[in-house]
Amino acid sequence: MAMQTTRGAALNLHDLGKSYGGLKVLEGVNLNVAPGEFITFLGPSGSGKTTTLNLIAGFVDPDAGGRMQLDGRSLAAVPAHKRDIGVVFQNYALFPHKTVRENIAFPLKQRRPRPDASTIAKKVDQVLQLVHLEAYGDRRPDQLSGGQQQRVALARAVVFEPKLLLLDEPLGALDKRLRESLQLELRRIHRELGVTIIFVTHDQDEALTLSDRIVVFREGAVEQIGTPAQLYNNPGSEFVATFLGDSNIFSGTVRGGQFTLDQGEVRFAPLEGTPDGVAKIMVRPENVNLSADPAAAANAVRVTVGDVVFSGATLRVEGVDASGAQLIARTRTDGVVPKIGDSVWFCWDRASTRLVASGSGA
Amino acid sequence: MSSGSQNFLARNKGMLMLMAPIVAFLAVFFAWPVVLVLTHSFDGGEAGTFSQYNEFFTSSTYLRIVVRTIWVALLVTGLCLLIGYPYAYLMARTKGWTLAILTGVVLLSFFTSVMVRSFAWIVMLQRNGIIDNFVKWLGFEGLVLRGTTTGVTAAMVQVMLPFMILPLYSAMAGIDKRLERASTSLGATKWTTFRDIWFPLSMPGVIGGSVIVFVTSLGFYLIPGLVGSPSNQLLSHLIYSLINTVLNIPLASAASVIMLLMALLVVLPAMMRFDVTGSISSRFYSEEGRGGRQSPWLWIWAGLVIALLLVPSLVVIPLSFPENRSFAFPPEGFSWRWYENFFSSREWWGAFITSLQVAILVTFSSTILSVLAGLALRRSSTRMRTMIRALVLTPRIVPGVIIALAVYGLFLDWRLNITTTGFVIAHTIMALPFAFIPIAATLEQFDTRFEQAAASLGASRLTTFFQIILPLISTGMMTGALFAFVISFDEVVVSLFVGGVGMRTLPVQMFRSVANDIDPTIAAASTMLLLLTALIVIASTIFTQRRNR
Repeated sequence: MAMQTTRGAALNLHDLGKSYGGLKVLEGVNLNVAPGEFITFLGPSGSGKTTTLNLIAGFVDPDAGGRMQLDGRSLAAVPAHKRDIGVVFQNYALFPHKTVRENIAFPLKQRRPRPDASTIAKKVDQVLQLVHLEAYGDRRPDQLSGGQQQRVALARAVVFEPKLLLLDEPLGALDKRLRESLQLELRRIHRELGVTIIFVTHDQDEALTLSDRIVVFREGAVEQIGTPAQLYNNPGSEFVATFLGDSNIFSGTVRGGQFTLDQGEVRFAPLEGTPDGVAKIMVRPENVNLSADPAAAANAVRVTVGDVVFSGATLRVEGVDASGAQLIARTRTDGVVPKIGDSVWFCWDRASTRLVASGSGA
Repeated sequence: MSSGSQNFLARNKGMLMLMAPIVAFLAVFFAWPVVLVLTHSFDGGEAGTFSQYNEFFTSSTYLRIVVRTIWVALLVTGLCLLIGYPYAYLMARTKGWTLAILTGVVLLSFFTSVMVRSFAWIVMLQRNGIIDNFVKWLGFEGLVLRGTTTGVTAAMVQVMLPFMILPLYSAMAGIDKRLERASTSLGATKWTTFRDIWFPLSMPGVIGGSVIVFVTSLGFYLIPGLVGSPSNQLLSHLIYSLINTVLNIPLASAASVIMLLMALLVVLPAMMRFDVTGSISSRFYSEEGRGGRQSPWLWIWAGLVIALLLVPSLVVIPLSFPENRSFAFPPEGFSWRWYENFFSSREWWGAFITSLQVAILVTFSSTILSVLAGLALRRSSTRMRTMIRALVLTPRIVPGVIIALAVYGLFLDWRLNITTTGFVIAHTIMALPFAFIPIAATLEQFDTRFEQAAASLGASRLTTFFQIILPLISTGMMTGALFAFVISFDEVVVSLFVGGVGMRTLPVQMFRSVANDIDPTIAAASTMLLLLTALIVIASTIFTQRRNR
C-alpha cells in the first residue's frame, strides 16, 4: 500500500453530558480509547451514542464539566473544522454538486498550507485505489450505487489522514451482503491505516464482528464497556445479555447460595457467594443441550417444545417452561430432533450459568 | 437583564447577527413609517382625536366607496377561484411538456408587467376600443366598459388570476398520489374522491390564494385608477386623490387604517388555521407530476383560461405600429416611429435606464438580505421562524398605497425622494417577500449534514458557505433574485410617490403617458416588455424541461 500509515490518536472522554433545555440526553460518559483501537458504540436508537459522536466531532457542545482530550490535547476550544477528525455520515452527506474526485479533494484543499495540485491529485488517486473506485472519480454522487457512495464517503473522511475516524451507522442503508463485504473492507482499511475508529451502530452482529471493544449505551448513559467476548460471555446486566445475542433468562430468588424458581420442574446448580434475594440468571442457547433424562445435568428445566427450526449447521428449538417463559436451545443437527409438543429437558453445565442481576434491586 | 435572556443572546449570537440586517431594514423603512402614517389619522386638531374617522363614517360617499371596495375584492376573489381551480387541477394532473406549457402560460402572465396589462385593458374597454367596435360591428349599440365596475372587475380578475392559480397548484401538487388510489380501492367514486379527499387537501391553496387575491384587490390602485372612473371610485383611489389632489393627509391616513384593518381581518384568521405564508410561496419548478387522461371539458376550460391570460396583453402589439398618434383599432398604416421615439426620447429611454439600474440594485439587496435571513431561519426555533416569516411577508399584505404614503413621508424628512437610493429602498421593501420565500424554502430544505461534513473535513464557516451552501441553493436563489428584479421593474404605486420630474421609472412613465395623452410609444414599450418577458419564460421553461430528463 502506497498510502502512508498514520498512527491513531488516543481519545479520553471524562464525565461527558448533554442536555437540551431541561432534558438530559446524555450523562456521565467516561471512556479511554487507546491509539489504533476499533471501538463500537452500540445501543438502541435514542440511547446517546450518536450524541456522543456529535460531541467528539464538535457538532454539538457538551454541558459544562465534561472534558474531551485527543492525544492529551483538550478539545474544548477547538471548533469542528480544526479538530482533524474524519467523519462518515449516516447518509454519507456527499456534496451533490461535486464529483467523486472533487468531494475527496475537498478536505485536502482546506489544509493550511494548502498542498499543491499534483500532491492533491496523487492523494486522491491513492485513496480511490484504497476503496477500489479508481474508475469512478469523475462521476457525481447520484450516479453511484449506495455501496459506492459509502466508499467515497469513507475515502473522503480518511484522505486527509485524520488520527481519529468517526462512523455514524455508515452501513445502515445497505443490504446484508453489501454490508458484510464492506465490514471486511473496513477492517482491512483499519489495519492498513492504523487509525483509531469509533463506529456507531445498533446492529449487534456488526459490533461483535468489527470491534476491539464495545461500548453499550442505554438511555443516555454507558451501560458496559468490554471486548466482544467479555460482553457476550459475561454480560453485566440483563440489558446487555439480551441486546447482544440470544439468551435465556430466569427470574427467581437466591437463598443460601441456591437459586430457585417459583414453579416448574427445575434443578439449578448452587451459586456460591450470591447474596440472598431476587436474582436473574442467564444461559446462552448454544450452551443448552436437549435431554430426555436430566439426571446427569447440573442444570435442567422441563420445557414443552413450541417450534423447531433447522438452519443448516444448527437446530433451534424453542420451548415454554412451566412459568410460561420462552426459552431457546441451539444444538447440533445430528442429535435427537424433538417434535412440536414434546416434553424435553433443557440442560446445561455449571460453568454456563451467568448471574445477570442479584440483590434487592434486581 | 435576567441571566436567562443573556443566555439566549449568547447562544443565538450567530442567528441574531444574520437576522439583524433584514429586521433593521424593515423596522426603519417599513414598520416605523407605516405606524407613523397610521398615527396621522388621529390628528384631529381642535375637532378631537377621532374627528377624521367621524368625518369618514358620516359621509355616505365614503361609506359607499368602502362597500364597493369590499364587494369588488370579494367578486374578484370568487371569480379567480372559480376560473383558476379547474385549471390548477388540470396542472396537477399533467406532467412533462403539457405541465410545462400550462405552467409557462401562468408564469408569462404573472411576469408580464401590470402596467402593460392595464394599458391593454384600457385599449380594449374604452370608447372606440376593441370591444366597443366589435359590438358595433355586430350591429349593436356599442359597449364602453371603461369607467364601469364591470370593466374594473374583469381587468382585475385577469391580473390576479396567476396569484390564485400558483398557490392552488402548489397545494395540489403536494397531494400524495397514493391517497386517490387508496380512496378508489376503498370503493369511492371519482366524485366522492374529489369531494372528500382532493378538495379538503387543496384547502391550504384555496385559502392562501384567496387571501392573497383579496388583500391585493383591496389595495389595488393601478387598474381601478386607470380603468375605473371617479364616479365608481375604490378605496385605494380615494386615498390617492386625498393625498394628491385634496392634500388631506389625516383623512387619507384614516382611510388607510380602515383599509389595513379590513385586510388584517381577513389575513389573521386565515393565518391561524393555515400556513398561508407557505402556500403563497408556490412551487414553480414542480417535481414529477401525474399523468393519465383528463376530461375534455377540463381541456376546453384550460384553453379559455389560457386565452384570458394571454390575449388581452397581445392587443398592445398592433397598437405599436400606427402611422398617426392614435389608439384606434384596427390601427391605420404601418411605421416604426414609436419604437424610434422610445429609444431617442429622453423621457422614455431615461425612464427605462432608471428602472434597469434600480431593479438590478434591488435584486442584489433583496437577495442578500433574504439569504442572510434564510440562514438565520435554519438556526432558530419554530416560534422564531414563524416570527421572521411573518415580519418579512408583512409588506405583502399591507396595501401598496399605504406603503407608498408611508415611505414618501419618511423620505421627505430624509431627502430621499427622487433619488436612486430612495427607489432602491422602497422597491426592496416590496420585493423582499417575493425574494425571501423561494430562498428561505431552499435553505430550510438544505441538509445540516452537508455543513457538518464540510466542518469535519476542515472547511471554515466561510468556505462552507461559498463552496457548499451557495452552489446547492443557487436554484432557489436565482428564483428569488428573478422575482426581486421583476417586482422592482414592474412597481408603479410606490414609484409614483417616490419619483418625480427628472427621475421616473418606466412603469411610471407609462402611467403618466396613459393618464395624460395619446402616445403609441407606450404600445411600443409594452410590446418590447412583452417580448422580453416571453423570451425569458420560454427559455427558462425549456431549460428546466431539459434538465429534468
